[in-house]
Amino acid sequence: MTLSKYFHEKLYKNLFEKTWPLWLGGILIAFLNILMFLFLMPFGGIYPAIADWGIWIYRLAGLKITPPWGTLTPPHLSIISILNFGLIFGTLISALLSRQFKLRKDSTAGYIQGFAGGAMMGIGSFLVGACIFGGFYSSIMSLSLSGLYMMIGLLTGAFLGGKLMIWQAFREAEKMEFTELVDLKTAPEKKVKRVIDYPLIGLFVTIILAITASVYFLTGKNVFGGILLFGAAFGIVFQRSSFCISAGFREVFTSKHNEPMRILLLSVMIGTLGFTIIKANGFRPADMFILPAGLHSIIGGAIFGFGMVITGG
Amino acid sequence: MLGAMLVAGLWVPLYGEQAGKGWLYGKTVFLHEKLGWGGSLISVLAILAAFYIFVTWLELKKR
Repeated sequence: MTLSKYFHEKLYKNLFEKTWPLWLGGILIAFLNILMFLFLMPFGGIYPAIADWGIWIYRLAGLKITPPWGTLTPPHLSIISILNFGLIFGTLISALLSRQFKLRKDSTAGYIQGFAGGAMMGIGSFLVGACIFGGFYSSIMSLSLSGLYMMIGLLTGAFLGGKLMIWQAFREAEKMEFTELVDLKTAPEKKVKRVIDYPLIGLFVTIILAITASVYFLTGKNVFGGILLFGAAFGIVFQRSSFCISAGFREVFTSKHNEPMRILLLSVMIGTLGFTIIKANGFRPADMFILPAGLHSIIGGAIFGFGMVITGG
Repeated sequence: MLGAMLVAGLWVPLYGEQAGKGWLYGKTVFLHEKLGWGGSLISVLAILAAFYIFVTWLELKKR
């Protein structure tokens, strides 16, 4: 066996051709979050970064708007933006290497629903003071009461969103029966698709990620480089294992398949234990990542939960 | 994502304060300050474990 064949069989196939078990994803995400907390901060800040990117769009349009979280720094020098870039890099690399990359089209109604769901997730994040990762996942691990409040809200929102999704699925199924009959008569011949070497593109994106991280390290911005790589690691685990907080809440009320929720709870339990050990021993400030708790956390969680279910993730 | 970006950006003009600040938000509640390290850890783990058992029971009941 040649060296390249050995790596292909033992490393590539195991990492990118086989899907990772969901439980492995949950455990890895919990440990990555513990490590990132030790390094700098817990995983969070997805919505603050997205809000910052929205502000940049408004500023490009000539509107001067104050950022809702912290101060507005250029994306390449903002920790939360870099974490999100890492997440996108990691997910993209993983999808390309495993040949699962696909651009999917949706109907106009689907785009409107996606936009509305995203907007609701934005509103929910503001009410809570953080997104689902910061407000629920990392908050509970940090022993913040707000995390448990947001969980109640998320369950309520996912329940209502799930009801809507089931209603929509029945409606779609009724329509599908009719269009499929038409398609059988007038089905056009399928075009032969061009074969794209996605793993090669994935390798190219990995090199770009490595160069970007190296630039941060070589210019003394070690924290930025580290966070970029943490984000990428999170992205790879999310993509390979399909570990998804949204799915955990959604499936309880739609398919009634509760395995994703059980894995999510297990992941939070592992993280809570790890965070408490870190905080209790003074490795990180004890009061780090404690958010305001109140009715706003529950209402915000419900709006976020509803939005994430109708958006699909 | 575009919807989230555009709505997220408008928070301060609409609310007048940054996220997490102002009249809307309650006090921060750090469970360790109320229950100690051991108490808060056991409480959180117990709540999560109880919910774990509940969702498992729901699934088993369905079969």
